[in-house]
Amino acid sequence: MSEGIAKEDPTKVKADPSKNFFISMLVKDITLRDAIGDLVDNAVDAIKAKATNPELLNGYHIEIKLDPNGFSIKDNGYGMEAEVARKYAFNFGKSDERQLTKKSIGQFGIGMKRAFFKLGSNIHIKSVAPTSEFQLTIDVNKWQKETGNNWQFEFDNNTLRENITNEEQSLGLEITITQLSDDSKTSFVDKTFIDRLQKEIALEHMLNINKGLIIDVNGADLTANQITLVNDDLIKPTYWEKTGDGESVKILAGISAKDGDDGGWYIFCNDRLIVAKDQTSETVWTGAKGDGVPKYHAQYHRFRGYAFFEANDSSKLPWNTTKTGMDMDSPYYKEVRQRMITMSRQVMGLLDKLKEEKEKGNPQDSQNLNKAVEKSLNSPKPVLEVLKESRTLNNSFHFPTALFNPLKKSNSIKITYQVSSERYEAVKQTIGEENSTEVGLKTFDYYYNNEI
Amino acid sequence: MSSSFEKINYSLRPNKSIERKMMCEAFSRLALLDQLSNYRYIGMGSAYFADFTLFHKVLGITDLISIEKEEAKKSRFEFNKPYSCIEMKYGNSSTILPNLGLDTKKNIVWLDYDDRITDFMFADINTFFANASPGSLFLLSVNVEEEYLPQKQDSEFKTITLKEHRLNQILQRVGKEKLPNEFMDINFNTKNTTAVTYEMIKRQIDTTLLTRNLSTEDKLVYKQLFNFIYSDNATILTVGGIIHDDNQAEKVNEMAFSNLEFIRDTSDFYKISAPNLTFREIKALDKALPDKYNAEVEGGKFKNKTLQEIPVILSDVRSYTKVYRYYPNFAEALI
Repeated sequence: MSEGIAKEDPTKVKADPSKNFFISMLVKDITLRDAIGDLVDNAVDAIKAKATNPELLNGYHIEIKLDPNGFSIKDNGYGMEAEVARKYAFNFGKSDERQLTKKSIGQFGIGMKRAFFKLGSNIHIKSVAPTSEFQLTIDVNKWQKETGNNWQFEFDNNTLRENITNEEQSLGLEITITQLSDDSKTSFVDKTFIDRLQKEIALEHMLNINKGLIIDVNGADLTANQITLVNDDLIKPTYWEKTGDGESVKILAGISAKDGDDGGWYIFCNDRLIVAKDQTSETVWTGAKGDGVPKYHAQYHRFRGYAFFEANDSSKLPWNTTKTGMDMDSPYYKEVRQRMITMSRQVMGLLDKLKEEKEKGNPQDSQNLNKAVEKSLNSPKPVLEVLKESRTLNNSFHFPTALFNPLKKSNSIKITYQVSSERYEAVKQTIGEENSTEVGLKTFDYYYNNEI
Repeated sequence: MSSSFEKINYSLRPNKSIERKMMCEAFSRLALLDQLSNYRYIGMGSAYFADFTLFHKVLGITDLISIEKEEAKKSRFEFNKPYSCIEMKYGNSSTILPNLGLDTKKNIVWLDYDDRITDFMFADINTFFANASPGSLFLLSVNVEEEYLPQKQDSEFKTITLKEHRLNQILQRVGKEKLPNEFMDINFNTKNTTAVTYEMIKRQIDTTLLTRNLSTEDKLVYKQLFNFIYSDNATILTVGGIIHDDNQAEKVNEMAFSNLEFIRDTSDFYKISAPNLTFREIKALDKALPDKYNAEVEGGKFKNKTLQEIPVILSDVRSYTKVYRYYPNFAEALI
């Protein structure tokens, strides 16, 4: 064969892609979970393209069904115009000419095809868009075998209709995938996989779900947690924003109650959650010897930070290509991360004081700052509401520092004594305390309360 | 445990007192940029508030904040506050500084630590340079005195050399990542400790400003002004300067900081060393100063006749001529 090429033109070296290689490369770097996530992102984009107000998504839904026989995803968004399918949507890689939907989240032009190949080998697409409709079937095995430079798919016979006007209610896109990959087959019978998928989609799209979008996986509507922050007269979160041409970032940091597991930073890009509950150096928690703040530990479990990136052109968002994290080298993210570090330190001023005030020996009744904060923690506000009131906030974290009432070391005396372990155990059992410091304190309090 | 302010009477540290007055003289030139009364001073006043008193009296700054970590001794600090316009903030500098709204007005911040260079100080540098509004001034003082082996060494363990001990100490405080490679195999005597401390501070300033300037139009520049070394007992390094933007560049040039003899914009430091002199000697020396010969010597004697006649060793007279305008007068007084 090489001789043949040499005869054609000795200065040319063959560099044609092979479809097999292409498909195996494409699916290698993506998990099944993320493949489904990509299709959900596309559906969300289509819905936002149709919605008159992207803040109100009531009436829109995405239905996902998966079982060992097949996978399907259906939305009532904008649909895909035949012209878009013909020229751009099935290209491998984004074409420069293509105008993207504003504030989209599926921008890489590779996600959809990659997801198809990952999930199975028979893909059927049905689209109803405002001025056209079509159906298209991809038989991957057959397509792979076709040699030559044929990198095309074909609309199904007699399904293509253009220059028509479709009713708004009828619009949408439906993708059905059969002849599932081995990976899909085994995962789709696994209840743990489906459960995780539901949880993760609910988390990634919590903002959209909170705005009214319904996402349904195997018949169950996903519910999203509300993200919250304390914002009252005593405690006010710190806020920072930067608005540029077609892009913006808003950051809020403060405290909230709920689960200790929920502490950390949350980063959204065009309403899609990219980084959740982060407690690592990807955000700010590098350790005191790094460029950020001390490592995340129990003392900070009430910390909440939220960063919201928005961009009309989604390629301006500082996320990585698989949308699983931030692009640490992006100057934009570096700048914002620096801001997040400062804001984390602001909130730590309170968290450090809460811990210090709680130190052993300081009676609970004297812990004035802790008492006030506990009270505020009972009624945190939804973050979207706090964002709406951002005019009332500034780039400082406000808390009632005057209430801080630590134990004054100079006013305290340390007592030490030794007793036999039998006598100690006996007292410990009666008191029900775990360590000798507590046992010592309780016995002293007992004497004080009864004899003084 | 007693605090450093309980061990040392800050007002009796002559070199520090000179440093303070030199800084004050440099600060007064900020008036070209903005009214000094629009500046805020943020310092660590301890219980003596010597810097606060000076800057309030001489510069007329009325917005002053003192950061103090020992909240337990609150009543003593409140009692010693010399003016009503000083606000106390209790806590660690690393969580206090970010909440002071450094971007809302021009600040003079002096982080006057007692300690050797430690990780949290880099966090403070970072907070200042990431947030401070253009036209603000930054100063940082740290102990750079060399360390010695602990006297009691456990004989069971392999004894370590002085050089190893010094490296361990510095690594413990700043971490491997912060210590520049070229300093990894060096004996941290006072000279090298000063050099590495200066270098690490400078790198932190540069890194933070690089990040801050990444995506902003209004690029900020740091112009170093101070690099003092002195020793009242331990050796102290003070570095600092001004951050400004393009619009302010011309004004900053007009301030002609370089006319002041003690200004240093490189790693070469200005050493403050106040000689010990009696009042009589001081009076006699002052009469001959400023010296039109600039303390020049010819044949082992000062060119200036009056200086020649004072029976103080030549090097002390020389030191004095450099600092006489800032030299403190200490006297025991019955108040």
